[in-house]
Amino acid sequence: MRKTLFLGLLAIGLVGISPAQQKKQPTKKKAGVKPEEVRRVLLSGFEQDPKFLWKIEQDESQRICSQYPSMEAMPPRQYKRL
Amino acid sequence: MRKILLTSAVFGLAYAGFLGYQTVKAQDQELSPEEEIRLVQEFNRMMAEGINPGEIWAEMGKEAFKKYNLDKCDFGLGPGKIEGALAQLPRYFPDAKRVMDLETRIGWCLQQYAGMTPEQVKKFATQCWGKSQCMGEYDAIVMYVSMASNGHKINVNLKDPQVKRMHEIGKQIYYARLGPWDFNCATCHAGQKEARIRATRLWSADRPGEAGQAVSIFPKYLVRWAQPMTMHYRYAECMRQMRWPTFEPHSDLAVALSTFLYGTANGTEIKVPGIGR
Repeated sequence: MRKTLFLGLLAIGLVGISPAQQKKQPTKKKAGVKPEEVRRVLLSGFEQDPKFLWKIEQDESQRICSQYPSMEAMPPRQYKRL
Repeated sequence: MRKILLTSAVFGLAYAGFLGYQTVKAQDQELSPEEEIRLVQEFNRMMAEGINPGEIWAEMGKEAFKKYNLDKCDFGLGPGKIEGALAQLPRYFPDAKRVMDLETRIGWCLQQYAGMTPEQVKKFATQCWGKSQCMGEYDAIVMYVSMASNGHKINVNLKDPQVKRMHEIGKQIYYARLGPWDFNCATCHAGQKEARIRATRLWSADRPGEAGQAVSIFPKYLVRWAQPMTMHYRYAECMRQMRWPTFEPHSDLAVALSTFLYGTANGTEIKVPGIGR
């Protein structure tokens, strides 16, 4: 009986510790680089090409759209970027 | 008589056209198998004997370095000091207020001390692009300055916030799928699985030490073109192959990629010039 109680408490303890440890882990700091800056640097390296720019804009729109189930669910701020 | 003359003229023109077509066709043809075998044998011989024709450019570069007043140029170790300069580049230069890699710095110094305009610098830097057996002064200068760092270990200061920022941007661009074919640098140069283009084994940024082995030998002498290839020319060629737009040397894009690649290669010994097919 005592053994069962001990094992039970140990199991509860372990289950509790695991999420707590996960919470404690520091989130990886992202380097402070904005997407706009990456884009500026990228485009600085090319002769102007409207097709290439158009493709980047299409890809960005696609990336935003894929985050939401419908147009109605999309925040106006994101909708404006399309 | 007039009919004979007219017939002769028509036949003459047709024959000239045929000869012209044959000439163009011959120019368009790739190397014959015999010629290709001869080049491979020549390459193997050079490799075996330790001869690297790229070193000829360094000799030429020594003179060009002085000719264009680059002895006034500070590569980060003081004006005119080039020993070990490549090893600590890219770095932030307060005088130019931007992070620069070796070639970008040379371009900037050509404007400052040789009186070139940005357009002239671009023309100077790209004079051998798309050619073969080209003895360009720019390539020679890059080779000369790079060879002065032989034996030094790459040591890009990633603690500098400006350099770190460029490193991060370079990394993001390296993995950004762009262009009509959605290619990125990582399409060929990432992953654990070994990739090849024809017989050439491709290095991967994900396999330890390979980025270092790749960048530490640039500028690299290419036997098939009988001339060296600088890092910015390499970027331009990769981007052309990926069907990205025409690459601008000495741009922030070039610096970002260099910062990512050389930063990843920290600790690797520089051995310039490399040699390749």
